[in-house]
Amino acid sequence: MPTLPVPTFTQVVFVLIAAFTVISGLGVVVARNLFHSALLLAATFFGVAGLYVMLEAEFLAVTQILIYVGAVATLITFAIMLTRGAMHGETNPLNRQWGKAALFAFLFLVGLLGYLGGIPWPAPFQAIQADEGLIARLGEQLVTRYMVSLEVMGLLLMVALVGAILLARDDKP
Amino acid sequence: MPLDVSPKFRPYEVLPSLNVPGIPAVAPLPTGETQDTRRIQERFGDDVLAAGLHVGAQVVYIRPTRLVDLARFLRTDPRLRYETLVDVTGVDRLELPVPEGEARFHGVYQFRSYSRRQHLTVVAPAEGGDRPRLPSLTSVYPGANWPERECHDLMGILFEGHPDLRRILMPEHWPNHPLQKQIPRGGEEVPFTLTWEDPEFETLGKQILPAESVPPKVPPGMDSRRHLIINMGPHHPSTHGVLRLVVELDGEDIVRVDPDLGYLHSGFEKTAESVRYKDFVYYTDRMDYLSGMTNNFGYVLAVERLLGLEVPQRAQVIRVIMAELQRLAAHLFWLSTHVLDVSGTGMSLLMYATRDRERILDLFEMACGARLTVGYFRIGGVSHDLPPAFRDNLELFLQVMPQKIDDYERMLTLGPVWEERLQGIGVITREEALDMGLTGPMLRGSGVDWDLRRDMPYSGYENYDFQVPVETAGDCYARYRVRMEEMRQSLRILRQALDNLPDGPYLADDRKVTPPPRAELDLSMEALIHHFKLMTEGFHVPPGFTYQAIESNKGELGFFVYSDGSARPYRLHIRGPSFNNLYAIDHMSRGHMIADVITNIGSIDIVLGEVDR
Amino acid sequence: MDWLNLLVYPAVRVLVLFFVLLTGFAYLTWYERKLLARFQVRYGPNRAGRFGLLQPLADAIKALFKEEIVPDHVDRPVYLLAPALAIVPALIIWAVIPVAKDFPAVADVPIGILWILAVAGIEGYGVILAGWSSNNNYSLLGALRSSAQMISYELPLGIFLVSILVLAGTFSLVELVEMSRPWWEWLWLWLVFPLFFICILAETNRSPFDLPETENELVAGFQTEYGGMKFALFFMAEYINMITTSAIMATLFFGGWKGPFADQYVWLGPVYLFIKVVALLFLFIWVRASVSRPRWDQLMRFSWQFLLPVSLMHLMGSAVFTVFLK
Repeated sequence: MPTLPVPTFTQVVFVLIAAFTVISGLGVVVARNLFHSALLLAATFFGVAGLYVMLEAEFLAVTQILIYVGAVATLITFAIMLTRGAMHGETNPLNRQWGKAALFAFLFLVGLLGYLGGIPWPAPFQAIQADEGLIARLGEQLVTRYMVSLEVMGLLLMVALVGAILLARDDKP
Repeated sequence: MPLDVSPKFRPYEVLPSLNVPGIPAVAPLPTGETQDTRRIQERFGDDVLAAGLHVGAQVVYIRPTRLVDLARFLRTDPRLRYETLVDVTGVDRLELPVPEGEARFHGVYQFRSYSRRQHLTVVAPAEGGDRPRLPSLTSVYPGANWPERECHDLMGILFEGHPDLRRILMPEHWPNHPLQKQIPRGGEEVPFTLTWEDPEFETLGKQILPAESVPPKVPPGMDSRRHLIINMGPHHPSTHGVLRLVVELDGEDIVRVDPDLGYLHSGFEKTAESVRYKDFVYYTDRMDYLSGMTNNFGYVLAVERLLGLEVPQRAQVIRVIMAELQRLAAHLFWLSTHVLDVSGTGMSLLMYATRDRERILDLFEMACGARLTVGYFRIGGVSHDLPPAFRDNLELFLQVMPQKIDDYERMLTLGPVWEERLQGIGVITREEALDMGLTGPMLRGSGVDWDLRRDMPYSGYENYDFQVPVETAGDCYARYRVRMEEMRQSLRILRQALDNLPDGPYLADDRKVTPPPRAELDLSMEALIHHFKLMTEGFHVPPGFTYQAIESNKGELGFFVYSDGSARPYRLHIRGPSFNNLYAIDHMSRGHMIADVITNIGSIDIVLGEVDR
Repeated sequence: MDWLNLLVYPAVRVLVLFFVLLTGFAYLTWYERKLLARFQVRYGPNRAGRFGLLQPLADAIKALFKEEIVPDHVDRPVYLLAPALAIVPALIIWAVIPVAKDFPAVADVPIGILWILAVAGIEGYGVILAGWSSNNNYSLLGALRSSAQMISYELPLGIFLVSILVLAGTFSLVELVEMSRPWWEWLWLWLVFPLFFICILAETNRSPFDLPETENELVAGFQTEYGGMKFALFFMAEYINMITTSAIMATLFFGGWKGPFADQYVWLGPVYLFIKVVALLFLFIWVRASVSRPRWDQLMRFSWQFLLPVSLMHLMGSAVFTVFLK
């Protein structure tokens, strides 16, 4: 009689985190209250950060929390709080177009899966040894190899910032 | 069974009057003339029903149809220049022997010229008999808004052309206008009374009463869809009592503020009509409960003026000492709560200032045995002479206090935030201050150089050397500066008063008004009779009316007393400075942020006991 | 062994840590009340036990036995979740703070400083959730203020942290404390300590930056609708945050557990850390007793127009120092 393999501690934790992520991700879509959706989104980000930890990419995980949970989701909740109509009751019901939307989402998923299947993943990845070295190397790569993308990103954010200031500026003298 | 809120009238028993024949009597018409009344008479001719002097004040009776014209004339005429309308009230003459065909209601207006130091009382008989109507003066003096609303609410006079004639003190559904004479005092069952049959008792003890959620009623003109409307009060930490402000917000910016008053309305004016003159002194303590002495002061002065009573020198100086101590105490309390409101709980200044206020209350306790509701003043003087130790203690206080005031000022102005929070907030220009009928530090903070103590002196204030601080900026910081300086000036007055405290009686020696000393009762039959008369019936005040104003710490505290010759006031109206100054809150707060509403409330310095009276 | 190492051993550490922190919280309230009273010519608690030392216990009993009231109009799950979310970040930040030589509270994570930043980022959620779910205009305004304030002050705070990071050259707090620094580096750090402290005040919603709960405008801000133990949790979060941030400041600016002989006698480490934390807490309370609260827009302006440029300049200075002097 074949015995079931005893799951290792890591596997159990992985399953738990993955389930948490998927469930909260689903919640984002089906929650009938916009604010709940935003909160579940933050929870999803958290789950993803947990997965990064499982992959021993602590830096990525913490950055994920710092930026997505700490800043992006906070901003989203902030924006929702500013829209007064969302305060009471259900504001995010399934509307008339949910069928079509679901269809497109499904098609997109299929396309994505097909694309991902085509990528040759490096099968046995090397464990990165020195944590210190990892962050330092990351920094080095950012200012050498990915220099242009970094600068372009910086420029983009700058433009967004200027635009935001322009929008938010008081017309009052 | 739903709660029955409709009023029930109990038969009202009128006590057999102790009054001699000829009482009640209508107030006599003014006699003589002054420069101003002559000018008004020249201009308005036959429409002036009577004009001249009455109890030492200028009085003009005008036909109601010309009232607005008269007001405009008073305000704009270069030789009159009555810049502000101090007070609006009414008299219901139902119980007076009014000649046939004369109006039942009189509207009474108090005009004030700051530049010429003149006061003018205008009386306008209301048209319409039992449903009186008068034209509204809001178009000339915008500050007439609230006084007219109050008069409408309590007296039932309809002011035509008033922009916002809602009830102001009584609940919206109140069935009558309580100051009308046919409305009995205490005769109606208060709609909020609980009886054991009440369904509310079924849930008593369950803590959470099932309550229906009722969408709140938004004041007219507010837009609850576009803006956020929050309800500050009546139970809010910084509205200084049970003031309710409905605030319309756009983000954190204020669009409009609508104060809802009357949660502490206790009907002082109605009560006054049923107590003897000497007994009402104790009621005044409860009005502005932070300055009992000052309230006493205004009231006794008004009655003494009607009586034509001379107050002994010593009593006058004692009164000044008490009034200035009270001003200090009230300003200290204002400072501490203002700072608390603006800056938060941890601010230690509250405790420091309260400690100093405590010294003042100790002095009060030495003089009269009470600390808050003092009831120290008597018509004709004060209740007790100052105890011997009072002088030393006051001396000590005067030595300590100047340093303390400097300390407090440094604590605030050396900090980084205080000026930031106050400067440019709640700006009132000189014109606006006059328009709105503001008084006291609110007026002086806006650049009007006016202090009743100096400009219309009473109780010997003309003998003291003091300055009236004036600031021109008109913002909260200017008012803060004015009040801080006023504290120093009060100390100056106190020093002079203490140095020049004369010996002599502390109560007038008029047996018709003041009771004889205890020792005399054993010796003199006559004294006993006087005492008996005074303690049972009280003293009679000759028919007439007067408006007496004093400079309380919050502004002009005025008492309008109408006597019909009996031992009780026929009508007593109180012009509270807090009430009139609070009118400015909407104007001051618009365009600022919600935190500034709190700053403004503190800067106006209100006490709800006086606002609602 | 896998399970033991991964679960049991950290769990014991965590339990000890929580016990210490919760006791610390209780006595911090006592400490604050006593100190504030002394600042304000009062006595403070002096009835329960000697010097009022049993007062925290009495308060805890009172909070526990209060009736749990959940108003009808609230968003129930979120309303109940909010107090818990408020207190969790305050506790988990402690994981990376070294309390003695080679001995972090729970784990030596190589990215300790980032961990602090990340957890500080989610600290605002408790307040935001509470304000939203209470379905009350005052609470909503409190939550709005809170989120805006958090975002604004996290920026200079983060940049100051990065500045320290650049100087130290390590992400690990354990290494940061143990490394020796030249005197000019200490000076350069202490130069910005007041500003860092201001950011911390804003992050922890402490007076004078307690605008989300200003009782004189917003009644109690986000916690208006909370009572009993749920309120106590918010209270706890605030005070534990104070302790936590004091420990962080002690670690970053004042050498953490270091002190005379702390290298030889390991047990001296926590003692020194404790002394430093208490001194910093005194600073918190002192500020509360004497500085008045700015208005909301003034607060924001201060962050964006003063703190942010200064922090950026400090970062540049640190970078220059690191390149040329190290």
